[in-house]
Amino acid sequence: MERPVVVFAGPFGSGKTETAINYALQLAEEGQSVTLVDLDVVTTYLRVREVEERLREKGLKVITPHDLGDIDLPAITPQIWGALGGQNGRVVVDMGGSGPGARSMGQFSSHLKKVGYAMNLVINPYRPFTTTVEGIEKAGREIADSSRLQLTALVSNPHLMGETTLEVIDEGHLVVQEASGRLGLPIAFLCVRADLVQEVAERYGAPILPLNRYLLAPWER
Amino acid sequence: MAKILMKGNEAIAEAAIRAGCEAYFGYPITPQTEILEYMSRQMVELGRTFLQAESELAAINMVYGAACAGSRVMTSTSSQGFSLMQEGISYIVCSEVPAVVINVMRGGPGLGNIQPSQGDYFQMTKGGGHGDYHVIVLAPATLQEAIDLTILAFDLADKYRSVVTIIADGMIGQIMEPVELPEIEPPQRPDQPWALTGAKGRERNIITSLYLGGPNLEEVNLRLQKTLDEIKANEVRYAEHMLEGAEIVVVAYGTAGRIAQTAVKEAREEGIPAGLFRPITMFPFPYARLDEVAKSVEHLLVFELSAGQMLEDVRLATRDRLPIHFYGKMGGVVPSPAEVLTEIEKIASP
Repeated sequence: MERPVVVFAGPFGSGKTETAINYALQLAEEGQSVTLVDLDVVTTYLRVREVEERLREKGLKVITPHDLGDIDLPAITPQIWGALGGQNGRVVVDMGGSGPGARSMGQFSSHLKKVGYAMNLVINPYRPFTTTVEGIEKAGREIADSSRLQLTALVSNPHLMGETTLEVIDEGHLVVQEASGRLGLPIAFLCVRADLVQEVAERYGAPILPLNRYLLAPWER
Repeated sequence: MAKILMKGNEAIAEAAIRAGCEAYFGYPITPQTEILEYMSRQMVELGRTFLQAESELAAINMVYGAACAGSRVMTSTSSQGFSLMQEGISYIVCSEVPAVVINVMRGGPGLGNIQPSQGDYFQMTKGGGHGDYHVIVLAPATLQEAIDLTILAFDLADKYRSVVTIIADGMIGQIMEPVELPEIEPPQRPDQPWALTGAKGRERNIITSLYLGGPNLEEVNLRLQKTLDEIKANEVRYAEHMLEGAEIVVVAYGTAGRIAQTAVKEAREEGIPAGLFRPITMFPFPYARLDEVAKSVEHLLVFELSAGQMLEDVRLATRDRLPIHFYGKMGGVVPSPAEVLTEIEKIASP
């Protein structure tokens, strides 16, 4: 995934934002210059903009429509165009959920085709509409059509939040692996809660992205 | 896969579908729009009725119509939209037909904002519309509870032939949690001899909320009050955490209850004897049980995402026999458990 722009797309609630944050931080830790772009025009709470200060402190450049604060307007800040130029290091894009969220990406599609992009479909097989290969296929098609971008890989994100066990990961990842075969898309990586990484790494050869949660419910803060 | 990861709004919608909701009418408003969205996707697939109305006024009157026809029916909205529905809710209650209304509260008053709030407590528990009435008000604090209470809401609506509401806030609507969905079974509904199903072979039914002349309206009111007495006697629900040996008891519901639960746990870890009383039915309010709990504690701390609305019911329950402290945040501001813990600490060592 050495392409300048890495997009995380996926059905609503599949874990795009946490994946994008953790992935961007990993690149930054490797010493790369990284800009995280919040292109989520669908979600109303628990968005990148809530933790952007924290992420800046960790060395990320972050672009969000933060001037608008807590508002549910599908606003796209023009700064995004600057970032997507690809001259200032890597760009990680957190796209809004499902077809409606992906539509906002459409305006950038011809530009992204020029600079080169990776388009990852984040899948949590424990979410209502992606528990089956058919569901994942349908979700992927909808997102590719709406964004006018091609999916290049799947990101496997099988979890039940605090109730995630190794069995949950095993069972869920199997569904994503099946989908990977059916769709002819590789699995870019498997997302695993940081404290479970070691055990999972022993089971799978696939690259693993350790996930630390940034967006918490008020009672978890 | 027994468990599934759902957003609060999705969980409420799916629970309604599993409870046998046959018709849904609604109008989009953040932070509950995912209910509408989920229903638009699933209800149609199941061959049931979904209709996006032109306004909340239209939606609640469509609910009224479907309820009169004997359908299991629901609408959902957020604060501002709930205000718009009050006239219709009053009509439905007076007509004694069952309906479920979900209110995922956001900041107010006015157009407010889209952040979580509990500012509609008065409106929801004290009547809301015109005339003498209350509706049952159920307050979930977890998504599993949101599912269970949504299913219960349909059953209670049938049982008492009235409106049952869910008082959720934006945070409950928007967070995600693993939940278990009950298996679908055909819902057991009581007979509905009153329903407008076409009068073939029987006397026609009339459903109305208009009673001009004579003592009829007083009779209706007396009957509604009798139903409310039954509801108060039978449907009080609450949850209690760490009340054993508690000297400071936090009273909180919904998201505030969830935050308070974390704060109480942390207080106990510090050696402060704190506990939590979490009403689940905000109407009927658990007056008697709270009064009982208050007898063996020294302080109550009411915590709400409002200026202090449930606070009045807590004072009524305990008749101000003990010090009642209040901590509240308004306008969509949600405090952390640490902030609630600070309030508990202040009471413990003034």
